Amino acid sequence: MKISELIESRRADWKELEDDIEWVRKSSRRKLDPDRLASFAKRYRSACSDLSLGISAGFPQETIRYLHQLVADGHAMFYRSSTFRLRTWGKVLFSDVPRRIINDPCTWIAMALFWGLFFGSLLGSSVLDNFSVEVAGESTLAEMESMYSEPIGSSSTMDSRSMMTGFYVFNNAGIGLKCFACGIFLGIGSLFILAFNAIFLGSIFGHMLNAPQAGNFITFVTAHGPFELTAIALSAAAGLRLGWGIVDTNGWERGASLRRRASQAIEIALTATVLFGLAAVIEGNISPTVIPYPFKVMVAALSTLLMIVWFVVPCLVYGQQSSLEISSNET
Amino acid sequence: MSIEKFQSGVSLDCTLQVVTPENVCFDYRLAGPFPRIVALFADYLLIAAILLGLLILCSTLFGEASFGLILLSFFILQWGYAAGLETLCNGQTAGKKMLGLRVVSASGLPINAQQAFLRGFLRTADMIPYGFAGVFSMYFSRKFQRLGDLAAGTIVVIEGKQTQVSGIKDVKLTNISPEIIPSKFRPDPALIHALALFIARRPKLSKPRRREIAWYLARHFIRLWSLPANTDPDELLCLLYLHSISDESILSKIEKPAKKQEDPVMNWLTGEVVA
Repeated sequence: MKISELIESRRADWKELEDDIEWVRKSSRRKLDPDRLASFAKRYRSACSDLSLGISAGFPQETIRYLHQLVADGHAMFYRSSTFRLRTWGKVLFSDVPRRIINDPCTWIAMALFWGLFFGSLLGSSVLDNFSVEVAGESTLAEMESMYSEPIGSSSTMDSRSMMTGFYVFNNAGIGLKCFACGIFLGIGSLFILAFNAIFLGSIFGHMLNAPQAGNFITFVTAHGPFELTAIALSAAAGLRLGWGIVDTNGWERGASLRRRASQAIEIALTATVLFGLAAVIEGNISPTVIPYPFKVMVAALSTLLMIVWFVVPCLVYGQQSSLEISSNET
Repeated sequence: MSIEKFQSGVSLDCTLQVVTPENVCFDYRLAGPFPRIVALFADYLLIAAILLGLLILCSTLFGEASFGLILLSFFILQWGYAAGLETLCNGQTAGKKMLGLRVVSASGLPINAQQAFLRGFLRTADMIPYGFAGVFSMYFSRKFQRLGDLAAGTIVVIEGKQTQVSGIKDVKLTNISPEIIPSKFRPDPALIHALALFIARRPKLSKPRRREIAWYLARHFIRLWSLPANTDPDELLCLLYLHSISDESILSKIEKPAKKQEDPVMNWLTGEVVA
């Protein structure tokens, strides 16, 4: 057979493979007709052999380029593997992720760093006169004082509440995700942002607790504090997990180690984003209202309890190590 | 074999070879920073347009409360636009679709949600400062991967725009007769490959340039078959290519060794003689 005849005779088959690829791409997994799927497989495999034959037999370059594209498309559809199962996701969400976060040394490093610096600078600004001015700057402190000069809730309306909720998600969760992304620079970016936030927040807290507006300040920050502060630390933990994968490869090739750690890190980052979202809802709708202070304390206690349950109960029920184990070879 | 390896080396052609389980290599053409930056700007423009539309719509409907909604949608679009579209539309955002780009796993498979979100989130890190981190990373990684791509294990490829199978290009031969090729002449695969590459490049070259390039190969045949010195080298190569692709023995010559490589023991068992 001549090459030109061979190409002509195969052309119809290639066209049908194109249609098949489009058909597989568009239909959901359950609706695929098994007979047609089998013929798709057959056509794909013969296109593969056409490609290798074409390269060695000197097919025209356009035909070879076309076959490269056809085989690439077919390969992508034939070996695609994205299934969404609610049960698997439930297991990931309520068992694997919390256990992995708890078992991850990065979580504890970020937590220790955050709380250490936070309380350090809180203490510093309470004891030393100039500390908070040096850290936060005169104008910021003056702004904070004027913000909390009136009793909380006196000027809040429904509209301003929903606006502020949107703002808190946009601003806080955005900073959290940036903090995570900066972790790719060997984790240093995340640690830097975390340290900055811890020192800044600590000095503001230290200053405000000693200011005349302390009562208003505490009334405002109590309710959303647990979610938000945990989320800040977790964002940095996610970034650290990502960047540390490049440094400590644990015997893996560097790129592979990064990819492996990245899939773990994004779980932590998403957890932090959810916590930021919850904090924003509370900060927008409960914190700035005239609801009595004991109720706000209850909200804080409840959110802390919720996090403890989510993090700790899976570890007690399913054991320390998660099934998809990542941290067991940490030592 | 060595020709094919040389021809599709990553360092030369910006292509990535993927070996399928069928033991066939196919090429992806990798997208460099420039089309990707254009696609990014197109996406930004679209996001800005969506936000502007939302702003106008919401502020007429809800008043002050709408700013919360706008900020929330800004947040979602900023962090989730690319990731969401890449998950749903098989690796393409609107901007990428416009420029014919697609995100795929480095293994050549479609990307999943986790990869899409990872590379979406890490775009921020790639933008530090003014996109230099991403461009540097693309420059130093051999597959044009920015930091987000490295972490998610993805690449950006150029989609083939060609959907038609073109047949063999018509070559008009005026001054040369097919009889000048000896009937016993059988071109070997390396020669056919070189001829096919020449034929593909030919339309882009001027006539004198075609002759100049063709001369290096054609002069050997002119000497070998003692053809007249004024034979057009370009036409001679075209003729040789037409000859080789219409030669019935070529395909059988190539197909046979491939079949015999399979399994000597099986061939022996089934009684086929392995020569």
